[in-house]
Amino acid sequence: MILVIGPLVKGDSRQRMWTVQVATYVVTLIATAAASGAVLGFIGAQLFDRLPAAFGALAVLTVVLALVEVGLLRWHLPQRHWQMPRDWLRHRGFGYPVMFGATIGVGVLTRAPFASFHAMLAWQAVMGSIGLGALMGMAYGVARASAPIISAHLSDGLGTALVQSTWWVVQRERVWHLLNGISLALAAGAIVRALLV
Amino acid sequence: MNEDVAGRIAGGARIRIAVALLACFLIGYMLMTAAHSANVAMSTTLGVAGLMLAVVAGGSATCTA
Repeated sequence: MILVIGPLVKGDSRQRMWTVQVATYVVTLIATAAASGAVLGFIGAQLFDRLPAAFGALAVLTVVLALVEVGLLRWHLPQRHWQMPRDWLRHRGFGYPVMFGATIGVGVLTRAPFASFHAMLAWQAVMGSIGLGALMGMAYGVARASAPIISAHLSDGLGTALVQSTWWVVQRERVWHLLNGISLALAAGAIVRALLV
Repeated sequence: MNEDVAGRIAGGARIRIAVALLACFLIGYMLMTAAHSANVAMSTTLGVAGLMLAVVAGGSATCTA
C-alpha cells in the first residue's frame, strides 16, 4: 500500500502541487471513511435499534476477534484480496489522489487483515448512531492517512529508505496483531460491563 | 530444536498470551465500571472505546503493503 501511495506523496517535484495532492488524498480518505461510518450507523439504527441482543453479539464477536488476533483461534477474516492498480497513477492532477483516498476510505474494497477493522464496522452498526459512526470513520481515516505520509516524509520519498521503513512495519506484523488483540480485549471488557448495567 | 521442546514453548507462550488477554479484558471491564461510578454515560464510554478501535484499525492498516 505504502509503495503505491509513495508517488502520491513525492511524485510531483513542485511543492505546491504536492501539498494539494496530499491534502486531496487525506480529505477524500477521511470524508469517505466518515461517510461509510455514517451509513453503517444509520443502517444499524434501523436494524438493531440498540437491542441488547445486538450488544451481546458484538461482545461475543469482539472476544472472538481478540482470540483470532493473538493466534488462539483460527478464523479467516472476510476481506478482499485486491490492491489498487498502479495504472491509476496515470490520472494526473486531482484524479489519483481522489481515487486512492476514496478507495482506501471505504475500507472494505482492499485487504483488511486486522480484526480491529471488522470490530470497528460491527461497532459502528451496533451503536446505531450516525454521528458516532462518522466520528469513528474520521478517526480511522486520520490514522490510516497519517502513517504512510509520515513514513514517506521520514524516508524522503520513494527509495531505499521508504522500502526499508515499509519492510520494518510489515516484518512486525505479529506485533501489530498482538496490539490489535489487546485493544479488542479492552473493548470487549468494556462492552460486557455495559451489558451488565 | 527438539519438537517436544518447541511444542512446550509454544504451549507456554499461548498460556501467557491468554492470561495477558484476560488481563486486558478485565482492565476494560474495570475502566467501564469506573466510568459508570463517575456517572459517565455508557454511550459516551462505548463511543470512546469505539474511537480507540478505529485508531488502532487505521494505524494497523499500514501493514497492508
